[in-house]
Amino acid sequence: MVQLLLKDENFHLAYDLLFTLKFLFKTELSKRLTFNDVVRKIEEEWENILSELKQHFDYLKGKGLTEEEVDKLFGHIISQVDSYNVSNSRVERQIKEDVKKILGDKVQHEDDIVKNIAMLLPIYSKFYRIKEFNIYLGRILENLDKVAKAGKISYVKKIFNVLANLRLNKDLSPKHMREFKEFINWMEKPLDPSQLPLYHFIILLRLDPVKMIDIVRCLDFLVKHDYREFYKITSILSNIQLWRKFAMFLFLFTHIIKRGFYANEVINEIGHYRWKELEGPISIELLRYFIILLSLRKITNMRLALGLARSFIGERGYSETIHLEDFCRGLLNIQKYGTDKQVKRILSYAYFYGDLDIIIKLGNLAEAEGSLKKALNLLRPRI
Amino acid sequence: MVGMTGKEYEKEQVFTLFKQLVSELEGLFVFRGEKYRCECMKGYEEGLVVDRLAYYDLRLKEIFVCEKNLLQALTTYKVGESCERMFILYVLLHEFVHYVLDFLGFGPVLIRLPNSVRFDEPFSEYIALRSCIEGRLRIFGYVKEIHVKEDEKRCVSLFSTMYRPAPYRYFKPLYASQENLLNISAEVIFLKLVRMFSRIPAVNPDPIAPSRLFLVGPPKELDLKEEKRYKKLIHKIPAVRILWCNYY
Repeated sequence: MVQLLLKDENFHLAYDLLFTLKFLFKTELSKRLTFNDVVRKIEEEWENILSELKQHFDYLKGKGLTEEEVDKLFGHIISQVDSYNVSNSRVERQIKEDVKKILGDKVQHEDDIVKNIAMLLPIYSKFYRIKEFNIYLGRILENLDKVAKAGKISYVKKIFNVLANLRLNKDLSPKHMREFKEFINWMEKPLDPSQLPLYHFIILLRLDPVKMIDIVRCLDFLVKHDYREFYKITSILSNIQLWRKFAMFLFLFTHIIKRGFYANEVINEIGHYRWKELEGPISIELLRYFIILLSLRKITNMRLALGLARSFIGERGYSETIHLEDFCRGLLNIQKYGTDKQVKRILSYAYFYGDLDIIIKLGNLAEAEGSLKKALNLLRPRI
Repeated sequence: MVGMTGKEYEKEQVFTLFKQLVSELEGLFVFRGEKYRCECMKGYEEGLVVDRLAYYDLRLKEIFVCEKNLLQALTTYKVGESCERMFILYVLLHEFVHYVLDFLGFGPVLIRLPNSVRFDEPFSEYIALRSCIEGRLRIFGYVKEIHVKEDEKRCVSLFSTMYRPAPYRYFKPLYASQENLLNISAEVIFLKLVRMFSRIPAVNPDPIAPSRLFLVGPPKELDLKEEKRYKKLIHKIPAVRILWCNYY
């Protein structure tokens, strides 16, 4: 089994909180949003709603309604609030019918009451949502409390703050967030290797599972730098058939960023036409670029590795996966047994003179001899 | 973005680039004008043969650039606009190396060899490619700086991977790998080959001649001394005359 993502309960907690807030407020969350801001915002919002409702109830009482009638009317309108079409001019007629249903036909100031309720429908709606939200929030707060007791609340806050301020977050609708969460959950599970393309390279290159926050940052990088619009990425998230390659892409690209490679340069080198693949099925070719790059230990050789990857992919074509494995193993062994200077020299030679086989040959010899120097000596002419 | 495209090349564009390069490489080349009758190789040969695009005339001691073949190669090998200058530079440097070898007196040894073992061809290939990568022509101790942008160097990897027939394709095993991986100077290898093949009477065709090429051993002190002799001589080398051939 292969694991792409490390499970992180704190991430889930922070993500759930953000998801619930998005659902609650619907509109965009403000630019610089922190965990503490959000809690304050909810409290303020709640107080505003209660104060507006109190004024509303007083108004209704002023129009001759009893406490009991106000409660009854409020309960009914709240239960119907989602069925009112606020933009529709007939909404007042609907409310009037409901008022008559609850209070009977002989209501004084009926028109004023109906107008006042219609005007305050958004407040009713907010009250309803926050009440609903409180159920979720209650659960979240309960978990947050446990986390706080364990002394980890600052980590949740940190993740929340990162998530809330990502460019990506601004484009994420609750629907997309749900799809994204499903995708993340899927990546978190131990996966059957056969489900993933080029999975054996994860083992060959000893690539550890990554954190979810790193995956999210990686996606945000693509969106922030306009490499891909988020709605195009979400079209992949909504298609389970495309998940495997996309998961590998995210996993490898996250490692590229974590390793310190210059992601912009990698993308430019790979070419815009390959990034277009993010709109649809991702090719193995795109993944191979990252795999060759990740066979390198030092970022100083990144340009050479990109050049080698370009030559390799251009030369070998699509189907020879075994050869790619030999090539990566060669690169790994050369780095294992060689000094930085030797590695750079060999890579330069292989790249500039188009001798890719030397990487495999030298890597194998170095592994067999336990030394790159001995491997190089074996290449000397014997006369 | 450096790359190859399927563009058709215009004569004027390539000629202007050629003239610019020749004036940049003052000291190596002197432009003598255009010519209408040259001995450019005709016909089709599979793979890149630089000497079809330009050639060094041993008798006239001049380099001739074959316009039609050069334009054709730029199109056939899909040399992108960003690599066009480098490709012409590589062709010119290849021919310049032939001129250097003639100047140093290797002509008689080389001319008697069968084509398949003309080790001066892969040597010229290697020195030309190496110069493009390093941004300086370096041969037998002679050094001339060449203006090459960092981004243009990528073109060399594209040129290196183009298919070439023998003996051109031997530049990798004979010179590039030995110099870059084993620290054996390409010039020293060349001198060893000169010595090896001057002892062997040239028979055409020689069935084992190609395999002899790859039997060149590690350098000895004697070679280094010999190399010094050529280093002294090469510093007196004058610029070679170069002509642009329109029709042939």
